[in-house]
Amino acid sequence: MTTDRKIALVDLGRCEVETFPISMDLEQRFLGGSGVATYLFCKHAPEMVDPGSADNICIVSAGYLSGTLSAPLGAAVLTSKAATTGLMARACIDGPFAAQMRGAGFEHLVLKGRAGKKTCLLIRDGRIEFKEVPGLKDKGLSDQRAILCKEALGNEAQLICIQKNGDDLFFAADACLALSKDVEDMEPDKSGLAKVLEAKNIVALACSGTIAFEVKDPEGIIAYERKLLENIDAPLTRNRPDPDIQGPETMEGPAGSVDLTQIKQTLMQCLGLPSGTKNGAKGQEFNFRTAADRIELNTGLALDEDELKQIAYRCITMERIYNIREGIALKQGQSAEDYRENGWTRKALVKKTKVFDPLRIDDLWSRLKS
Amino acid sequence: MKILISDPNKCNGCRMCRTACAIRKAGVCNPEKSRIQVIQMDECDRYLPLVCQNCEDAPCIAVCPKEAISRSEDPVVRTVIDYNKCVGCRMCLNACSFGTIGFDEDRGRPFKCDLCGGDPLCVHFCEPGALTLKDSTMIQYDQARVSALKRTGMRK
Repeated sequence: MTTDRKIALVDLGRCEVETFPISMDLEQRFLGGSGVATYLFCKHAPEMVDPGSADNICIVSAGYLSGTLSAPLGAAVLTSKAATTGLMARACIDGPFAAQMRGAGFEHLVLKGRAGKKTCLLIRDGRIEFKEVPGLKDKGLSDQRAILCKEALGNEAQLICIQKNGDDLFFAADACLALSKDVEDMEPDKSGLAKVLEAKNIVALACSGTIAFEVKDPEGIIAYERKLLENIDAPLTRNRPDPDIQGPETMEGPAGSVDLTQIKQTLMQCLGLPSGTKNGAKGQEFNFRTAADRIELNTGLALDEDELKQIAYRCITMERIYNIREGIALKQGQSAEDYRENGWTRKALVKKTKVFDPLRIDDLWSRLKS
Repeated sequence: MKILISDPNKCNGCRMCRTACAIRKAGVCNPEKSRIQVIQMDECDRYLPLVCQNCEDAPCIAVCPKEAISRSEDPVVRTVIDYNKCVGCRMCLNACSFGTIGFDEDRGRPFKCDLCGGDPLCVHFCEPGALTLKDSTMIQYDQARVSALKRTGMRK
């Protein structure tokens, strides 16, 4: 059984697009956003690929709740093998891009190959165009937006573009500009993913769409979010204590322990909850019960708190196993040290019956076992 | 008469108002179905939420060939659409100076903000407080008009 959500497999070299519906099974195992992206990356990325080569893939994902009342500015997540570390990396881009991408008809874009020339991807109402747009190079985000809006995308178009900031590259999106008028002030990309996109000859991704996505319980989610908003400024003592704070700070599973903070962060990326807002760490603490309620009211998918934690645990484990396959044990640095100290080794994690089967990722066994 | 005031200095472009409106009025997440629009003004990096202004001399009323739009004595919504008369010709959409009349493709008819019967949902969802519902008597229209004319004159 499938949902009305779609994945686009974009071959930049051949200028071809294939679309697939997202299965209900995939949604239940990984939700969306970074969850499905991690699964797709493990499934499609070639072994020991050079991050700067055409064979590396980059996945642009909208969160499971992006564009809904729970996350109108839900973050987009980019997933790829980073040029800087040679490991799986993610970059979150807050702002309306993810919502607009869903409105344009796609949840995930799997970018593979390399475009022949500097290319913009124009995504609108279920179609993806490969376009060389002259005059974009060395322009600021505002100017790039103005140029691309003229390409029949309309004023609602939202962009992700890759620009130079000194010697480094950084992502710029419409919301980032709103946060900082002067792009010179923006942080360069530390994830190394801007370089991956640049290596694919992508200048910008522009989305515009009018495709509606259904809300399971419209009045229910309105009442729920309104209540959350009304309580947002209430003193902490008046709030019900979050049971997560009282419980253990790590989660145990077949692939070892995972920090609860990492579980929460992963779920936020799966759902597309923006970082640093009322939904994120700086405002209201991420709450598993609230997340489960929001998912059910928006989509009808009923999950309990343990199932949510399992989803995050599954995603984190997939990433660890991928990094082991890509030879993290032979690398230097903090990440490699963490793997060694915590015993996240090939011997401990790459086990079909003890890890892949219970975590329901057995379909990745043939891809990740080597 | 009540009117919805939006303050671009406070609006952060979060679009909660637009999403909430589309869900309440159409049961879906789709900006096209929202009665409130959020205009992004690139030149000054600001956002301006806009709804039907219930214009005194409304162009949508003047242009409607079926006289389906009329003024009412309702203290909340002064411009109303009579769907029994409307033929979905979209003349009102073209005439509206603010672009705040939308069109429902499924039903073949236009729609506009009705201020949710006097308790607009968008105001409740506006976290930065950019949207407020005010009584028109509280707004200094005469002063605003003089000020606007002065500014226009200065530009000339």
